[in-house]
Amino acid sequence: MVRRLTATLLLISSMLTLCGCWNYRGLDQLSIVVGLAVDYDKESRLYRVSYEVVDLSGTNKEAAIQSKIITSSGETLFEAGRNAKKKEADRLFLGSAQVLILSLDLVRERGVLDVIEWFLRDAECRESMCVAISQEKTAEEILISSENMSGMMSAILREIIMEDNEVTSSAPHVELFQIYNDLNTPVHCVAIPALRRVKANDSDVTELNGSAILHHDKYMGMLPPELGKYLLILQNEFKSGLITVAMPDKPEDLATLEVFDQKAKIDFKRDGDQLAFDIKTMTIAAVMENKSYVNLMERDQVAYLEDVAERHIEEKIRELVYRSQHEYKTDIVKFGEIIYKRDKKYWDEIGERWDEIFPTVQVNVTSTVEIRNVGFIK
Amino acid sequence: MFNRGKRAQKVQQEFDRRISELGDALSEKAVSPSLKDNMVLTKRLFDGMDLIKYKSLTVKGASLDCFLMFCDGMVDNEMINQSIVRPLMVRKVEGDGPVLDALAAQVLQVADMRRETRYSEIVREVMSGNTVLFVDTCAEAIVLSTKDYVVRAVDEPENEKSLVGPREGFTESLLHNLSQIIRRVHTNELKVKMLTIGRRTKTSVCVAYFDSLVDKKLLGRLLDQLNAIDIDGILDVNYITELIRDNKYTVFRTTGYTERPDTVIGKLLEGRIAIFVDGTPMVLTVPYLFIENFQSSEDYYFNYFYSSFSRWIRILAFFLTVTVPAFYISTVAFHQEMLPLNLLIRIAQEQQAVPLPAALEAVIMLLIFNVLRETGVRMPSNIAQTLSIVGVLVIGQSAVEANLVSAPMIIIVAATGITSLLVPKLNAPVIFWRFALLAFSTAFGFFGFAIGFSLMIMQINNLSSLGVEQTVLSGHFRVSANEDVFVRLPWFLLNKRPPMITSNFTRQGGGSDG
Repeated sequence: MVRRLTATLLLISSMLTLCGCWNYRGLDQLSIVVGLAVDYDKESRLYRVSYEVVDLSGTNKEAAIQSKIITSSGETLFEAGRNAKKKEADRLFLGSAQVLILSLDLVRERGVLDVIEWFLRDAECRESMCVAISQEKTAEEILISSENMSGMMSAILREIIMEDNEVTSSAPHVELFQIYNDLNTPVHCVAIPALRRVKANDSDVTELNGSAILHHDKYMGMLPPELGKYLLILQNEFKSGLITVAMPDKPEDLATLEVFDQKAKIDFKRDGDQLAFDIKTMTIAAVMENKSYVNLMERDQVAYLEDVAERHIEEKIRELVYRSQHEYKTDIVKFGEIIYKRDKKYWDEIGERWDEIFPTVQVNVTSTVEIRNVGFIK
Repeated sequence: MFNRGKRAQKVQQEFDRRISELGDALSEKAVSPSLKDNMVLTKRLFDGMDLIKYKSLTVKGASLDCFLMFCDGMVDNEMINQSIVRPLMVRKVEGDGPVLDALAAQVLQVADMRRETRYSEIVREVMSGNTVLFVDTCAEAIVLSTKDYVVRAVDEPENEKSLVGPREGFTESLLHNLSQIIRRVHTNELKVKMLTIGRRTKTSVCVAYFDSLVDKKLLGRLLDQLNAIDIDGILDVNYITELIRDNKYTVFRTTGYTERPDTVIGKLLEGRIAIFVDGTPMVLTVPYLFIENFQSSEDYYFNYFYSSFSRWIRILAFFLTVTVPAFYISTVAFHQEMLPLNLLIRIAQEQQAVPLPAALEAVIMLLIFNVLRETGVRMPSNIAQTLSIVGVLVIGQSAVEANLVSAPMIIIVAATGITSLLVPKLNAPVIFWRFALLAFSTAFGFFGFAIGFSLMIMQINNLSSLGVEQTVLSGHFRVSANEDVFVRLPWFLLNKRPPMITSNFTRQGGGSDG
């Protein structure tokens, strides 16, 4: 037993330490890249890569860490990366890169796999790099810091994207390897968060604004942030967020619920060739802000509010499903995967034709909302 | 060059021959019946040794001449005057029997005495503070125990201070040290075997053990090894350690050292053997297990949970102090992706400003730390303050402010230094392996680190003391063998002695006491 224990410990310690390169490169000879933006120029057929690099020249330790942008071009991404050395004394170090931003033009023109392939192949980059798509003209713009957003943009952007599902829940986040994986699932689709610049107090800030839908590595459209929330709900990735509902008879009367617990379950039924999916969602929430006529002191009025919230969620999910069936023609909720997992034989029959079948699939939604806490203040 | 070496060799051989002749001559010589002969011979033996005093007397009644011989400064003068000289001059010998018997029985008021005929022994006795009485017509001398020399008072050992438990420490006197042991153990099971080692120093060495607990094979092996030692002098137990160790060149400890009587008895009760050497307060205990590096006598006096916790901390400290610099260099110079972004940037900022590469910086800082430490040990305590100011201000603060050394490196060296203080018994291996791992890491990053670390573990696993494996990493895991290893169980559960050391391993609750 001691022998086995020792062997295991040795194995673990070896696995931890026997990885990586063994060439000495001092930290003083490296430029630490925190984020990358990739643009594609149609005419010259060149990739233009912008690296956000930590600016170590300022030795003032009290000030916030500053960064600078280095840009280089090349026929391939790898070449562009090497070309950067022409402009920079130190070698670029990609091991700590936080985000990869792709321009919408590039995605429309060439898809994402073209770009991601190199990053996955290269040993230095993290496969957990966070990927986003720029809604501006170029991807580089997103990385440029402004007065309102200073310091390392990439680190800020990563936090905005990664923590979204814990606060606002407006777009699912994806990491580098997930894009590759998702595009190779039976339904071949992925939603990548999108970023845009907005004006605020005379200077720009970058904002998360929905997701770009890709199907078979082709751009299909933008999913608005308010529907992104319901995509997160259906993927069971929704950690925390708000649901604001309007009273059906008085639209200016609003109530905001904070969701504590959220579960979604999707089942499928097959009747011959007719497919139907049942979506059930369960929400436990509290009323955090009440600007409506609903009197929260009354049990039946709270029940009414629950009812309104249920209708609201159902409606939004139906809208999401409708748009994915007819606008994007992409199975972003991944209904196909449910068939693939539960009934592989049937999937083998229809998998080839899934893109045609999907828009005709029937989807039923039932939601339950339980308001657990109304916050007695009156 | 070659000639000179040869000549020196010849001179040495000649010298050795004469020394051995003198020794042989001495050992062959016996006490002669003629007092005059004895007088002449002793005078010649101690020619040039002015501390030897002679006193000629006439035994009252028997009207026999005799003389006393002792070494000034080593003896109790009062006792010689009152119990030997005075009775010889005043008391009358009655009866007809042999003179020496009569003297021993009626005159000499000393309890510890014996007869001796060999001069080699007589020389040794005189030089160790005893008085020798030669009587005319007798071919024997009487050795009277009159030892009295200055010894350091018993106090708390500097190196093994403890918060709780006994505070006494050993001194440089073998007999006093043994008395401290016997004072705590009142049984005839305690055996104490006296040996003499050292051609010139003739140092008394004592092997102590519990007869019923000790493994007889180990004891026999130890005695054989001790008897085989041929060295001119022994001043400390470390001479013995290095002469009897199994792994000749290892940097790890193969014997336990202590200055505390309670620790020695604790070890004896686990079936170990203790080796006392006259002239040093250090006592050896063998066999030595690797875990003893992390044990302390306090472990047994404090609450068992606290003791176990401190033991983990010490084990952790050993691994930290050996690996931290190497680990740092591996991450900073090879595997930057292992560091979280903000930490990476902070370290990079520091590195950017510093002229030396991280690995060289580490080596230099570790050397400076070792220099400071060595200075701290050697220097008089009243300049300690100066040293700490130099250490802290000059090397720490100024070096960082002048951008000669990066701040993370100072932290790494400090962490290494502080953790090394937790395992004083592993000083030598810690320094050796720290630099070895650093070298491996500088060359190959974590790959080298893994190789170096494996080599260290292999070396530890190969250690043995008196033929007993120091670490047991093979075979079945036995709880009974690990009651006092990674945890120190409370005393009511600590039922077994370590089975690698002794075959009588029931400590308590086994019914019959072994």
